[in-house]
Amino acid sequence: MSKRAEEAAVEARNLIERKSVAQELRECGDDINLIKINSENSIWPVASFICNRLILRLTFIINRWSDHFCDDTKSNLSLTITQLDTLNSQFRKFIIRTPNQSEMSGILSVAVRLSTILAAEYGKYESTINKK
Amino acid sequence: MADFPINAEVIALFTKIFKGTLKGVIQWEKTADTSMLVAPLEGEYGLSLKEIPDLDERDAPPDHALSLSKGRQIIFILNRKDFEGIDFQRLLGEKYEHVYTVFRELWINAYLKAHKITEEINIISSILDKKLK
Repeated sequence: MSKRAEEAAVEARNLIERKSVAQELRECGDDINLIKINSENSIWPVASFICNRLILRLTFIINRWSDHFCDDTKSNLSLTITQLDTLNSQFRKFIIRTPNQSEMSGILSVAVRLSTILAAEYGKYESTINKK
Repeated sequence: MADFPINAEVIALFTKIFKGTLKGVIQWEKTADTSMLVAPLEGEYGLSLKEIPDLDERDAPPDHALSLSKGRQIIFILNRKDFEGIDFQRLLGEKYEHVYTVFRELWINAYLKAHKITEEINIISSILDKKLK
């Protein structure tokens, strides 16, 4: 294979990978929205199930696409996982008892924060798709 | 308690986290659990600070546990019991005679940062300054 062809192949692979990263991050953002909707409706087992799935998904993403991520992204995704771990602990409590107002507002405030982080990260990688 | 000896490096790291928190350079933020705060450092490294029941099992104000993690892996957890016998007055100043005070001060400052209370106070204070002129 010529050098140019090899470079083109690498570039094509990078482009596909960047698209995958952006797509995966967007889907994670959708999951956060599902968590928010289920929290607002006090459907704690479902919120917890989605939260757990999202933790696994982000753990996969951070390891699988590690080469594409800058330190800021790694930091933001790790923070998101930590926040989700705490969120999930709260969900498990609320399966047994009803949350008070402050706990409820804490959950929704974290959901909004995580949604913002993931939207920003998704935007960051979406914008790189058409760049060489 | 930490399952490793508390050496000079750990004390130095703890002191940096303490000073960084007081200076407001560590970006503590609230979580869904009101008794827990987290702060990203760099890359996958992060801190958590949690209010825990009194370690001596008395009917006393809560103690605090500080943990450092990489991703989901906890590197260590520290509480006041780990620092018994350490001279924090020499390291941090006169008022830190008891390790409890150091952890309490760490929690208060992290809490203020996480809830943006200091920022809000400064904004309101400056609004009032203008009105009082």
